[in-house]
Order: sequence, then structure tokens, then C-alpha cells
Amino acid sequence: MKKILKIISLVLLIGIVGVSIFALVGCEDFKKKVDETVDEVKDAVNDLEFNVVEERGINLVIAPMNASSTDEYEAKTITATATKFDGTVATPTFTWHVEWLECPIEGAVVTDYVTVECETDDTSVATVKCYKGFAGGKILLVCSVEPEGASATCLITYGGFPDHIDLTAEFHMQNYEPGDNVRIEGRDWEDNLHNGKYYFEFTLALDNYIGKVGSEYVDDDNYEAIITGGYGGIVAKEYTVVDGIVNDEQLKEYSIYDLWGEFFDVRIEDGYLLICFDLNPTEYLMGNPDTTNGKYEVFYGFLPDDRYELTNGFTLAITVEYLGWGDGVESTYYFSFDYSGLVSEVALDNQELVFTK
Amino acid sequence: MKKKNNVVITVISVILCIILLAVGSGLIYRLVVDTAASIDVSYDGATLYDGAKGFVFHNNNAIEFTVDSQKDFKVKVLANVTDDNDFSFKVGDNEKALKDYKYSDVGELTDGFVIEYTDDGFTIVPSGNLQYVLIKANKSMVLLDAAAECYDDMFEIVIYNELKSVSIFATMESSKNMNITLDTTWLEF
Repeated sequence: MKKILKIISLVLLIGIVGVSIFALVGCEDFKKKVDETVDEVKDAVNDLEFNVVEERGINLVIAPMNASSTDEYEAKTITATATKFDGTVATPTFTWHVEWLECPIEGAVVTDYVTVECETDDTSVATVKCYKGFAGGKILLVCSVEPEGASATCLITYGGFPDHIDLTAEFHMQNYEPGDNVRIEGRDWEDNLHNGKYYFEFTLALDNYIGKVGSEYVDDDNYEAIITGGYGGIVAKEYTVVDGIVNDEQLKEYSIYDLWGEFFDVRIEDGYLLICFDLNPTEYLMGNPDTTNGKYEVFYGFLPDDRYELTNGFTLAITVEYLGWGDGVESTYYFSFDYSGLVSEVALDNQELVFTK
Repeated sequence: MKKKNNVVITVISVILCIILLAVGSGLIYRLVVDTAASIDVSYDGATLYDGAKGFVFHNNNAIEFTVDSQKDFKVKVLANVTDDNDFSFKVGDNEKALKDYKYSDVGELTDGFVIEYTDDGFTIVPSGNLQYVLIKANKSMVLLDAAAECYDDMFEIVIYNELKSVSIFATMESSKNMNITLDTTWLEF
């Protein structure tokens, strides 16, 4: 019996050690990943124009889609090879053109939809660009060499291939739970405290540069989201209360890899992207800090980061991937968060104006 | 008796007259209609008989035919094929949905040719090589078997109006000097 207990204990010990190592390694990986991508995210963010899309305690500004979504066309390259009939490779001047094989709209000009051009002096390589959807139509790409009269063709169709995941503006804070504000008399930051849980919910949809995803690319909400970078952090205030008196007040800084999993979480639920914040770590806020003795830590504000003018908070790069078919589609978004206290009072400098003339 | 014979002769004469009248009218009508519907096709000054063979399109150069037709005429191109010279190819809008076809399945090839009507006839030229002609005719990508080659009189050019038609047979010269291949046959956006 003792032997069995020993074995069970040993197995449990190994398990606990293993899980701990795994957790530590995982955390280090995340830290490393975040550290490595600080500059990358910074550069990407600085090139984007942010829009404020929601404000309630936390300011959330969200960057536009990743670069691929801002293109006005999708480009593919095609290469021609010429061989003489004795088997030797030739290097003639190739000419390229596109024409309708089946035109979906009477009178439509093919080059409004697809163009082909050589972007270098090497005429054997051409770039095909698609500017508009032409579902139901077919375009023929013809490569020829004159005066030999040799030619080759390629059929171009429009399948509405999704090239990014769209995050629509129809998002909202879900299940906002403001909680009880932690207020301590005489503290200058009392109005800045808004504890509670925030869930930012985003609708996801497959999209492409034309805005017409083919019907065969069914969106079955098979998404995954991972944090791929970020920078910044938050400041929390740690203190103890003894008989209603605040002692040992200290500011503590947390970087985003300290906070991940505790302060915020990113996940996919029912096809929605959820970014959740918990501003009220329960382990520290048991009871009422006005009257209850104990040790407390409260969320204070986002960590000012002088390196980046964009925000005094933190920015997350979140990559959303659709796994429904083929190689999938992925898009990276930049979410920048900072804290703004709600306006609680508007004061005038004079309550009475008297005119004498 | 004589009176009876006269009646018989009269009846026979009337019948013969009616027959003669009908045949005469038919012949006159036929002559008039035939003249109106006739199509005379000539090439380089020589009138072609229906079924003329041996024309070849060289280096995508158009062939010019003169047409004398009392009525408006049109031109269409059909596949001229027998079991001996039939060949196979694949047709599809993408590589995952290819179907096997034979040249004898194609039927009309007119969309694979550029036909321009002139004041006194028409010019005709294939839009490109054999693959291209079949692509235009099938409105889809065509992959030819390596063994597929042009053969004599594989195209039947039909010049027709409401009542008559004349067929001329032709083929096209393959590019003997060069072959072009692309690294992809389908592009989907």
C-alpha cells in the first residue's frame, strides 16, 4: 500500500514539475515573442491611422486591417518559357494581352477587371492584376511571340478568394460589469478607478480586396486568435489598510506579458473575437478597502510609454486565423488600449454673471 | 364510238396539259429561285466548287474569299473529322474539374475564328493556334494531348444563305519554330 502511495506521489510530483516547467517556458516564449516584436509592432502601428471606436473607462483604438486589405488589386505573376523545336531554350520578346472568353456584363472592358503587364525588361515574366470581381465571366490571358506565331494561354477566373478577415465596426462591450469602485477618501486618483470586467466583442468575417467573397468559401466561424506582439503595460497601486488608514502605498508596473492571462485575455468564442479585461483581481480585493484591514492592489492606469507617442497604454498585435479550408486566411490587427477616467462633473468658474450696462 | 373516243382524248389532253403546266411552272420557279439563292465562292479569281479542299492558314494570315450571293450570306466553321483523324483533349475551368473531349464532340468552331465580311466576300483566319481555337469554341481551357496535331482539311468553312450552302475545307499550319509554355494554366482571383 505504501509502495502504491509512493508511486502516486512520485507521479503527481513529476506532473506538477512538468506543468510548472511548461507554464514557465510558455510564459518565457510569450515574453520573448513580445520583446522581439516590439519594434515590428511599433513600426506597423506608426504607419497606421487609428480610429477611436469605443470609450468607456478604457479607451480602445483599433487600427485598420493589415496591409493586404488596403490594396486596390490582387496581383499574381506568370512566367513564360520558349523552346525551339530542336529543344533549345529561346529568349524571344513575349507580348501579353487579356481578352474576354466569356464577358459577364455586356460591353464591359476587360482591362477594367484584369490587366497584364511586364514590370521589368524581362518580358517572360508578367504581372496579372485583378481590380474587380467578374463572377461568371472568364478571361483569357494570351502570351505570344511574333513573327513565329507561337502562343500560349492561361484561363483567368474569379472565385472571390478571401484574402483577409474583416473585423467589422459592429462591436460592443458585452456584459459590462462595472463592479464597485474602490474609493479611498483623500486620494487624488479616486475618480480614476473603475473596476470590473470588460469584454470587447468583435464580429469577424472573411473578406477580400474587392469585397466579394465567393460562395464556395463558406464562413463557418472556424477562427483562431493568438497574440503575436505588443508593447506597453499598466500601473497598479499596491497598499495595505490598517484600521482604515492606507499604508505602504506603492506603484507597481506590469508589462503586457505579466498581465496576459491575468489582466486580459484574448479568445474566440462562437466565431467572435473577445478581448477581456479584468480590472479587479479578486485575490486582492476581498472586502471593502475603506474599512477592512488587508493588502490591496488596484488598477491605476496604463503605463505611459515615452517611446511611443501614440498612446500611453499598451498595444497588442492579435493575429486572427481562419482555418476553414486550404491554407487558411489570417489577418493581424493592432489594438491599442489606454485608460481614461469618465467625466463625472462639469464645473464653471463662475456661477453668476451680472451685467450692469 | 367515235364520240366516246373524242371524250377520252380530250380528258387525256387536259391531264397532259395540267401536267405540262405543273412541270413547267416548277422548272421556271426552280430556275428563278436557284438563281436568287445561288452562292458562288471564288478564291484568287477561281470559282470554287462545293467541297473544295486543301486550304491552309499560314502564320495566322487571313484567307480572302469572294462571294457572289443574291441573298445575305453567313459563314460558320465546323469540325471536319472522321474516326481515323479524331483526337482527344481535356476541357475545364480549373485543374480539378477536367473533362475528356474529342474533336468530334466539338461541332462548331466559329468562335475560334476571326471572320470579317467585306463588300464582295469575307476574310477568315484562326484566332490563334489549335489550342486557342478550341478554347474559344469551348469557352473554357483546353489541354491538348501531346499527339494532337493539325491535319488536312480539319476545318469545314460553310458559306450559306437561306437556301444554299457551299463548303470549303482548310487546315492551319502549326508553329514549326517555337513552343511557348506558361508556368500555370489557370489563375483564380
